Amino acid sequence: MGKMKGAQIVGQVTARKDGVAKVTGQLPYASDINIPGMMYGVVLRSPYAHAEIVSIDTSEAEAMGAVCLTYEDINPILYNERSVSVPDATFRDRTVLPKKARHFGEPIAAVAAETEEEAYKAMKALKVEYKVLPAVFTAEEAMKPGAPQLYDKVYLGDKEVKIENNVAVIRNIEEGDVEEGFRQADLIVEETYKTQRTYHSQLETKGAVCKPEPDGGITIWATAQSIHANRQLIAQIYNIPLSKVNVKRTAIGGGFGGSIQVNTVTPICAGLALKARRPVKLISAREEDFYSHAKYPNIFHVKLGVTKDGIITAAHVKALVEIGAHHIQALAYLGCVSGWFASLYKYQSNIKFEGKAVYTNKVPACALQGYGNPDVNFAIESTIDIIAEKLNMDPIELRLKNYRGTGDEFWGQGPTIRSIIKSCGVEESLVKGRELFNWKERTKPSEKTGHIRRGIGVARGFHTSGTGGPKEGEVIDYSSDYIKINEDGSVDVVCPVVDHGGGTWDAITKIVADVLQVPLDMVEISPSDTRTTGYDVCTHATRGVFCGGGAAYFVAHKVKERLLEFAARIMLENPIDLDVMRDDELGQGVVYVKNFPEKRITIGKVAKTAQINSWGTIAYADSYRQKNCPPCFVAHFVEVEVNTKTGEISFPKVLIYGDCGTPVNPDLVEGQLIGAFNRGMGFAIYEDTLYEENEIGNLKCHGYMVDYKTPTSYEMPLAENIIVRLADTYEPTGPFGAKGMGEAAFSSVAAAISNAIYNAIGIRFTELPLTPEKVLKAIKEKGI
Amino acid sequence: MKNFSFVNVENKADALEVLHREKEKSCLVAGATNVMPFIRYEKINDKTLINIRNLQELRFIREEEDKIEIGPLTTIYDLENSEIIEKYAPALREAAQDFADPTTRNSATIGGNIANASPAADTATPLLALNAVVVAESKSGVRKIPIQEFFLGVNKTALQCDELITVIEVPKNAANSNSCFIKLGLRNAMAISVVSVAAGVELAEGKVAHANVALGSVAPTPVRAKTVEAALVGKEFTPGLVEETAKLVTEDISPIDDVRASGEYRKTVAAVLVKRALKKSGKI
Repeated sequence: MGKMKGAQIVGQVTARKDGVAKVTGQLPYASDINIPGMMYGVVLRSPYAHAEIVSIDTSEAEAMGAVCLTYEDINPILYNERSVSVPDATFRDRTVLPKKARHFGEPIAAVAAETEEEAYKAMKALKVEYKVLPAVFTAEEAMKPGAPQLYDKVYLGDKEVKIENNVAVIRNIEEGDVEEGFRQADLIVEETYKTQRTYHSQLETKGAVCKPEPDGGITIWATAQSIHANRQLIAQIYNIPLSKVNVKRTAIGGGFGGSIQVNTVTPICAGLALKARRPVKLISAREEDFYSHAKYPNIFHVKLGVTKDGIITAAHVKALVEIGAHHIQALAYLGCVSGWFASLYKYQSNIKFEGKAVYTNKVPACALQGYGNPDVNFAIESTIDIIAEKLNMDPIELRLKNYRGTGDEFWGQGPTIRSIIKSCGVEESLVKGRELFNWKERTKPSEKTGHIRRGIGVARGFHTSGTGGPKEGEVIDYSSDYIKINEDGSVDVVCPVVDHGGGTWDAITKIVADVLQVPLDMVEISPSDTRTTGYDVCTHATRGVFCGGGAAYFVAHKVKERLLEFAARIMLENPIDLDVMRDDELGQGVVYVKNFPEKRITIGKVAKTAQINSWGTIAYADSYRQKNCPPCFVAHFVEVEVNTKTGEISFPKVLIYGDCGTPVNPDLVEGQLIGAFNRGMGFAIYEDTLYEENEIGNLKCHGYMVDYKTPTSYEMPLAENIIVRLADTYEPTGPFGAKGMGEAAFSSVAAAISNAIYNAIGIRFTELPLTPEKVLKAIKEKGI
Repeated sequence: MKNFSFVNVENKADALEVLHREKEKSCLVAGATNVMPFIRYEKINDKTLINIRNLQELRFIREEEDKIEIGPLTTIYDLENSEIIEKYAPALREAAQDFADPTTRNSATIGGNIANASPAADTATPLLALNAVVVAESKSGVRKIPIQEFFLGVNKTALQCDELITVIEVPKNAANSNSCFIKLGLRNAMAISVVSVAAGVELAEGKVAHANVALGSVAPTPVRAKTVEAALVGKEFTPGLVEETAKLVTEDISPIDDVRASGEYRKTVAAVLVKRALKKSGKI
């Protein structure tokens, strides 16, 4: 997509349009919606990890005036909460409320009452008879003969699938000749890595407000990363025409992937509202939210072959993924993980991936910022450092020899969505990064002394920008916009794209402002909903700017064509001789004659004239699919201090190199990179959700943040020691050269930290998180 | 949503009256930083919450001839910013600085922190090392409880159900003026300690005259490291001595495995922290 001359707004630091509303508490989130006559919903959650529900007695709660919802009220339609994959590649295993509880905290029934307090009391008055079943908590245990079975059968699209040994799905992918590749290797390194179940810790807990409409329809405000996904699922479950289900787009307090799927509480809230025939608000408490979602935990077995010159000749990764009680698309997950692994290095195109996903009686796992990318990155980037040491080669040189860059193939969403890399900041990041970080002064672990040991480490990563490709695959990707020029030259953008807080809406307004050459304060994102917008799959896969912004770029150009046609009628010129430019003095965009710029008319004048003359509104609506999925790259250089007496790890310094093509707002990109570093620290050394592995099967932290520590600003390096650089790249397929950043920012933090710890104390860790206790134990075993 | 009643009191006399009336049902509320989560976790149920937050008469830090007096309604923020505390009980000031986060410190009180009797209470460990005395009052009179006898178990104290803490006394002496506090948590702020240590050492002619060492989060109550103290007193205060005696702390503690750390890890780092605290207090 072409470059624009003149002062471009895209690329400048601009104040966020929603900033004032956010900091003054005026931006409404789903939980801020209050409707006269509204009731409050509360969910009864399973007190067991695995139990048949024999009966539910609602009489006492109903006598208290509550409206109760159980499986008997529910259309027993089987669905998957996640709908970004095509139906034939989507497993279906759940209903709104179950006949069998498959994890502690699973919603069993719900009540609505006049106040939250009454609802809570009514929920306590529900009498459920359970038949407790044995439960299973690890993938290895779940696959053993005789292990408790969560399901007999599920569906893949319309096809029945029998579930054996709790194996939810197997996905194997092989390309090239892996055996030959390993034969060519001088060195083969194998290692097993484990990553843990972390919780998303998003600020906003999941909730919804549902209002039944007199026409039999329903209006919904919900925590959602996709309003259209919510609309389609609610319409399907409750058998309502899509035209009568309206999901309002609201602000969302962070997503991190936890609301790509329709949240479990949303159809429950809708069911309560439809049964009560009154609006119902249902907001999860934090300790309920902890039982709603978590990151997929993985066990990776990695085998890499390499020549003595450092050329990786083959790669084989086995992944065992424990998915919890429901399938939120482990098929897509395994595909994506294979792609993240395959796209990191060339491996001479000899790639083998064997993935297996297994049900357990734990909270359903789902995407978390990277969809397995930070996990498999930890495995591969640790192995690369192991190889570098064995070959006595600089880890950065080894990476530079093998990375996939411009002209190479990239798997943006598993094996079915591929495109060719056209912009790449890997070399700049690693080469300039090592100078900035004094890499050459790095010493070996054996040269360190004392009880505070410093080490530095590097890792590189990436993520896709969106899930588009030249060829359609198993993942749906397009967005839609309706853009119109108002009669004063200002612009309304009506779009379904959700902004998690990363600034996606701001990016879209800046892109439109630059295409139409109007000042930024003359472009606004309209409040919207599913009735007024075309489809957008979801704000996931780091696609907000590249795909959402890409669609806005496309539609804005169509609007520009109409604008020039109308202007030509007024100016008695040919539209192809006209163009637009921003006139900051006028505070307007103007249409001018290209070879005679003195002849000009403001965009507002064109729009007003078109209205007075009844020519019509200058507007356009369409959908647009990005036919690429360009990777956004990062490199992390981390310095750690390891206290060999207590196992504590601190972070004196970090350099984060990001490549997002044109940064639409450099400050927001920097914020993403720094914020994700903090989250990466959490993944690397702090966070895990541990379970009581008994018939109750609750979280050891009980869903309380007090016992689920994430790092604060206190644990970060001092501000002056956090260095962020953006690579100078331009993505030719992105709006004004932009691609994404959100998930890439998280991808290689844990690997870089672990590599730095190795450099400090000479101990290679393969299981996250690296808690002080685990580190101290290893230090004692090594006798440091 | 929960079953509790609520009484607001404006002065000490009223507070004692309500305590006398409600007896076992009493639950005093000052900063409410423990009480609120307890209500939510249903750890407090069917109680009468007695709001003493507005008892300004019990919010003070005073210097007397041989001791300092701290009112139970003194907030953690007050402790952090008091010159008297800094001079005579620096361990308490350092504990206040490591306490939760600024918003909690603005609300939480020293009386509430010790009355809750968490083994991890950040002010309990220094008060134990400082040989503080808790003054408790009820309608039947006033009594003094040495801090060593105050903590009886997790969330259990020597207070009767109708008693109110009215003063916490800290003796003025060299060991207390030299005292310090070190906490190890799972992160640097808003963290419950995995182990905390308070120590105060008084030296006379290079030898240890007094050594007070207390630890938190290593037993059902905060504990004194009596073995360590005994091994120090009368000896020449050297890094070697500190190194050797700090290891003895495992004799004094009985840490458990919990969601935050294993007992084994606590034992290891307790010795490290004791060593650091002794060196800091004795300035070597």
